[in-house]
Amino acid sequence: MSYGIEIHDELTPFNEALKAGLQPGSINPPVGAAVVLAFQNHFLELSPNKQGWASTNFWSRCAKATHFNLLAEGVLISVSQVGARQRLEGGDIRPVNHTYLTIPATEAAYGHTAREFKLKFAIVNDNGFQRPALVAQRSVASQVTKTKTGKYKHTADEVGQVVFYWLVRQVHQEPDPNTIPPEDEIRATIGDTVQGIVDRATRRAGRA
Amino acid sequence: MIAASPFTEAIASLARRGVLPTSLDSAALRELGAQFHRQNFTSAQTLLTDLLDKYKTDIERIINPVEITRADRITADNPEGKVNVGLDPAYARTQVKDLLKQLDYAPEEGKAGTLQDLSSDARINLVLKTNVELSQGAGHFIQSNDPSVVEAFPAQELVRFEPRVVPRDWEMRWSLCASVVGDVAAARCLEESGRMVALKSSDIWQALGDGEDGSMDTLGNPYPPFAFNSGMWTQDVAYDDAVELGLLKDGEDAKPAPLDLASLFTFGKS
Repeated sequence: MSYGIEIHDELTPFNEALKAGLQPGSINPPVGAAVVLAFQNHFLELSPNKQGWASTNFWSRCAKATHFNLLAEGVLISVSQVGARQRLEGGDIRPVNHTYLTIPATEAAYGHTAREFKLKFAIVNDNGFQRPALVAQRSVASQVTKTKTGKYKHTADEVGQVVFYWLVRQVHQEPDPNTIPPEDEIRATIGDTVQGIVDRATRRAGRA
Repeated sequence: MIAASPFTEAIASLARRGVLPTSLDSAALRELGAQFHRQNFTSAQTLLTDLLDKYKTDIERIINPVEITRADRITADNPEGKVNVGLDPAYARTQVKDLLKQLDYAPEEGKAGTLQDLSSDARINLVLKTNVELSQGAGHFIQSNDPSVVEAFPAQELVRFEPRVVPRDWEMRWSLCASVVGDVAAARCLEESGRMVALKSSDIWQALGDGEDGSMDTLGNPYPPFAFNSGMWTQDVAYDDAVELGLLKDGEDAKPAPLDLASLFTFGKS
């Protein structure tokens, strides 16, 4: 996922920078660094997952994968992390080389692939709906109770199954513009950075 | 504008590392120093070249997703159906396990599930995470030491990117390393502001990476990750903030990190 910034002369500080004799080549890298910082801080404020499961640190990985590339006409901010673009743009996701997509149904499955577990296909009743799923056969679960004599007694529970993944043919994800910082925030970051460069260059020129 | 753009510096820092099988354990590998690890792709007591090759390939696919077009992904917002594909850590882990099965790998007796078991989640996650982050850390280090970036952002801050159940005492490490390298401003910054900020030119960054405070879990680099499984990272700090924190005087010229960037990577060489 990349976010391109073309710096035009309507950006007042940039205009001032050019008048001060600064070259775009000395402005674009710090602008890139400033916007990378804004993206990183934005990612780190995004919540891990709706379920409250142990985080896979997706947003932290996005922050570390954020970098800039210099272009002739400006700076390109990129997030080299699979999944970031999908969250920003949304769209349908369909399985490739498989029949189903796997949607984690339990925290143990989150952050893993289905192949990492010994699971069986099953049709499971989910609140009155029959849904395909990958399930783990639960071994005989035991219930621990305290007897009148103060001893602990293990009682065998019925053998059951735990849904690890729901299986679906496709998923539609709505675009989430909040994946990246708001454009006005990015513009303000660029403006502040260029203004800082101009101010320091002006002070330096004054000292010379 | 949305377009794919590779993290060139991170990819190059990985590319220049040649795969090197070794029987050395992690302590012995650490003794070889960071320069060795910037040139060689190793993993403790891993003699399987195929496995190291697989790791290196997968890590590149994690740090460098590529853009393809798919007809089924065409929408009003994405008329060309562009989509980024690469690898995420879970799929990489599955593929590494598949390879180890093909190679008939079996852990030593009593080591199954531990870090010494090459097929354990803990071991695979550690190798993937450490090497992905070393590449990204090197990439950020190079970008943040561009002369014009250093002028605008002369300092950086050690910040927590990922929570840990039992976090290491980084404030203590910071204070000790600041003391070892004589960076009074960095030590005072922590005391007065509670922030771990130092100039990019400070030796404290290499000291953190070298474990000058006595830590034995460090990776030898002046950029993150400073230690195995660390949740800490660095972020640029702007000139005015650095002045306010007392790290340099207003008008003072900023300097880059005291490390030859050519030793980190060379464009066009593998």
